[in-house]
Amino acid sequence: MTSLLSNFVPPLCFIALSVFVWTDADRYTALGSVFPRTMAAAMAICSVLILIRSAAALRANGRTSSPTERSGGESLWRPLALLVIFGLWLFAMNTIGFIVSSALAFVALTLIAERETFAPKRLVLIVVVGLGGIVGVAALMSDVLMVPLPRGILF
Amino acid sequence: MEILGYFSNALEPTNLLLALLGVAVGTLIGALPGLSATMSLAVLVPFTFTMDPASGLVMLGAIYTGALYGGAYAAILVNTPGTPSAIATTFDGFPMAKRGDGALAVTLATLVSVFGGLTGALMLLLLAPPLARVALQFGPAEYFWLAILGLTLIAALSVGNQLKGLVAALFGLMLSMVGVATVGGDLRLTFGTNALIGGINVVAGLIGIYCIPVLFDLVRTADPHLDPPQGSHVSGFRLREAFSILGRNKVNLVRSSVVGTLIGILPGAGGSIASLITYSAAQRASKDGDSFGKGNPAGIIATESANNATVGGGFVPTLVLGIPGTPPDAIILGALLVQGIKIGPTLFTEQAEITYTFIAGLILATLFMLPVGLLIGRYAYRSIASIPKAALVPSIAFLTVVGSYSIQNNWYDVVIMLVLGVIAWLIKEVGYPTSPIALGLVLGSIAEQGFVQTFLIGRAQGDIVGRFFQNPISMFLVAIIVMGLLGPPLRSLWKARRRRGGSAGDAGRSEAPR
Repeated sequence: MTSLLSNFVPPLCFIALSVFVWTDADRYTALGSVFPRTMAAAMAICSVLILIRSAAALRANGRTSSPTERSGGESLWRPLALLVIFGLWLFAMNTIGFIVSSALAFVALTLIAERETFAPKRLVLIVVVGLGGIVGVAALMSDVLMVPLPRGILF
Repeated sequence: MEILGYFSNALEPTNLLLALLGVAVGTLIGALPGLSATMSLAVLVPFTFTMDPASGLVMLGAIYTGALYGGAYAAILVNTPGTPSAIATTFDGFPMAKRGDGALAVTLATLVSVFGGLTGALMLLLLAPPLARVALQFGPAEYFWLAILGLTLIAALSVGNQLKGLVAALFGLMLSMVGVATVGGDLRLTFGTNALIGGINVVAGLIGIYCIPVLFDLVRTADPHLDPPQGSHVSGFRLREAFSILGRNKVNLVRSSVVGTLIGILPGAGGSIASLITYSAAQRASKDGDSFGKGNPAGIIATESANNATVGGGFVPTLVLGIPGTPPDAIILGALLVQGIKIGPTLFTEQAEITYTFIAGLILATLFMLPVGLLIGRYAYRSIASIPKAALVPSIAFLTVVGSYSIQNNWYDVVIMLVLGVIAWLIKEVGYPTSPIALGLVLGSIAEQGFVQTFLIGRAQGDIVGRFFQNPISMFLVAIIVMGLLGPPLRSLWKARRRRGGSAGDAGRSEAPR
């Protein structure tokens, strides 16, 4: 089922994308639409060819190729948690400030990425060094490179 | 003899120190995804105005060469190209680091970067005016085909997945269409948001496409990021081994450096196309082509020598024609203009002092890459290999956010980086390569501009299709594209037929005695 999804769903998505780009190009001028339409057509053709190849493989072998064989010991919640933390981090950057949001995200990501036996001393060391790095980079950005970092209600 | 006098200007102790400092700073900046040569040059250019012209130009050249070289570190050690030119370096660099040959990969990258950089600088010194005429032969159609060549080559490198590689490249081209159209000025694919009007920033896109999947993979599995085997050979420069590999890849090295310089001459083409073309050529020429993408040192030799050779090549149109090929070239051109240089044919005669001092600075900086690069590389690999994931993941995440934000001081760039990263990860999970997406994003504007301008000229002449194939250079590029597209499937068909023939022969032989 997974291989069926990975073999048929992506090309269908790409065909849908090319149809969307083609129809969206109706709003453009002739100059602005010629390239998107050509590329959309090329993408649709290539995607159809992938579908035909996958269907032929399915008919010949009774199964489709799986893109990646996964080993055991993998965690699904960690990537999802990473994504959530990233989202919260970006949201918090403008509200509570760059340095504080980055510090909180750093601590959270450290805990997510930790796979070894829980060692408080080691984690504290990583966090302290990380926070020092965050403050250092923030100072470099705002004081040396003159990049104004987002400032929220804190800093 | 006169040239040697100009070269001695660059050899003053202050200039030597500035060149060394410039290379070190440039290398560190290039190694951090998001911090680019353009940014560092733009920040430092005003400081050079108060310096002696020779010192200022030597330092700028050193930062530029260092930054381009530094891109290889992130590509080899974290599987994230520090610069677009280092995209192809990830193919073999990271597999080498993963199996414990990171120090060797960095040493090789350093040696060939020096060789490529020197080749480019020497060709700039000796052949600039005639080479500039080559650049003028390239019109819109040729630029379009050149961009398509880069995309088809990277798609062809997606072994067994050429169609998927092509679709990924087309997806990258579509991403490059977001925002105001290159020609025509239409607002495209912005979904009504102001955030997308400016388009997708290439560097933010690259950070997302490469860094976010790396982060997901790091947290998903318990395996170490790099897994060097225990032993003394893991650390150290491994120079003897590197020279032995270079000895076996002499042709690859020279070919890649020369091709890199020639492609660098074409404004806008840059290191990303050069490194892909030379990588593809190295793979085709190798007897062991199947091992490319799995940690073959020849891949690094091709890409790193080529992308560093584009530095010298890029200065040919910049200095002779006043057409900067890349943003760093444009900044350095600006600095040269401030120093009183007048671009044009008199550059190498009437303004020889400043021009030759600048070229001497480039050569000097390239030579300094050797000690600086070897030293930084040695500790970089050791450090990255020993950093626990609990520290590596938040550090990379922080650099991706800072890097994508600082490009334009724009929060939306960080959001776009994250969204593209998630899309890239999903696409990778279903078996599509992500490098063609990145290259599509990089080359999209060149491809579209060439395509639309050729279309317009063709329409005015009443022969649109003919316009795309009129010039012999176009025909040559199209021939390589066709070979690139048809070569891999035909080769695998031929191999399959040979295998079938071989097994039938074996069966025949085994049946014969009965």
